[in-house]
Amino acid sequence: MKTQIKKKNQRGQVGETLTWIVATIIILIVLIFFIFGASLLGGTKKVGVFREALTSGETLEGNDIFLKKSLFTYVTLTSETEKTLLDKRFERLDEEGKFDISYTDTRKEILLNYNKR
Amino acid sequence: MMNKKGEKLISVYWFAILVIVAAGIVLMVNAYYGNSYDVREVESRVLADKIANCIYFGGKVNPLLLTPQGVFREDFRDLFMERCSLNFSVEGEFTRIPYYTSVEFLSFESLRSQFSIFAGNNNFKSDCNIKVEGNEKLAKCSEKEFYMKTDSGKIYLVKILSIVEKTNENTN
Repeated sequence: MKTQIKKKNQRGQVGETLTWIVATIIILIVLIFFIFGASLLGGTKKVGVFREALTSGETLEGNDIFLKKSLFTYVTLTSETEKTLLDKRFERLDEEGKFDISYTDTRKEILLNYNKR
Repeated sequence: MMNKKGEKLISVYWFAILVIVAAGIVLMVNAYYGNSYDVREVESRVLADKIANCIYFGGKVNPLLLTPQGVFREDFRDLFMERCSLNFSVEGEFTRIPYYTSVEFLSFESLRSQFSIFAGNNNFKSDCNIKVEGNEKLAKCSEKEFYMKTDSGKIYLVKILSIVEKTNENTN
């Protein structure tokens, strides 16, 4: 009877030890995975590439002084031919995605401000 | 007696796991925050912004750039760095300049170059044309353009190229 209980206890102990060994291995694998992930992410750290949700009109991403300068030149033009040519160039640049901010919105805003003067 | 021994063993095991997890977290934080931020793209854009504002600000061309007759002044090219408050000098005797910038003024209709200014180390110009994956070790370029109107009514397309190398400071 006693030997039977001893054997059962030993079996139970072996089972429990195995469970913990497997658990330890899993913990180590998960840790190594996260350390590897953190070092990979660390290597891609860049300032200037922000998610859209993180940027606002006041951040660097929300401003394009080059577009604003060009649009300011556009509104001060008197020749209709020059205006049409510039319009076409703006549209081409917009299609190519050269502007950091919305071309149509900025154009509207600048035209509105200029006409207010 | 046996149970007490087992409990002791389990406590040691938990302590070991705690140490392993803590060490893992420290390693993770170190791996992420130990790497430096790459600010070269932003720096090149800031440089281009500064040059653009120096040339054309508030709808007015820099009075030192053009003569009253609307001709580009050669001395603006010669004194470009001082005129635009730029300083590319770096510490160290044999350290190469990590910046390059060029400004080109093209006529509005024909898009022909009328005047150009450049400063800095032009060895990095070739880096801008290389489009490969993992080009962190190459210099970062920023190509911007805008249209400006002079007092005499002439329109120019101004193309600004700004390059920042500084690879060692921004990559690991």
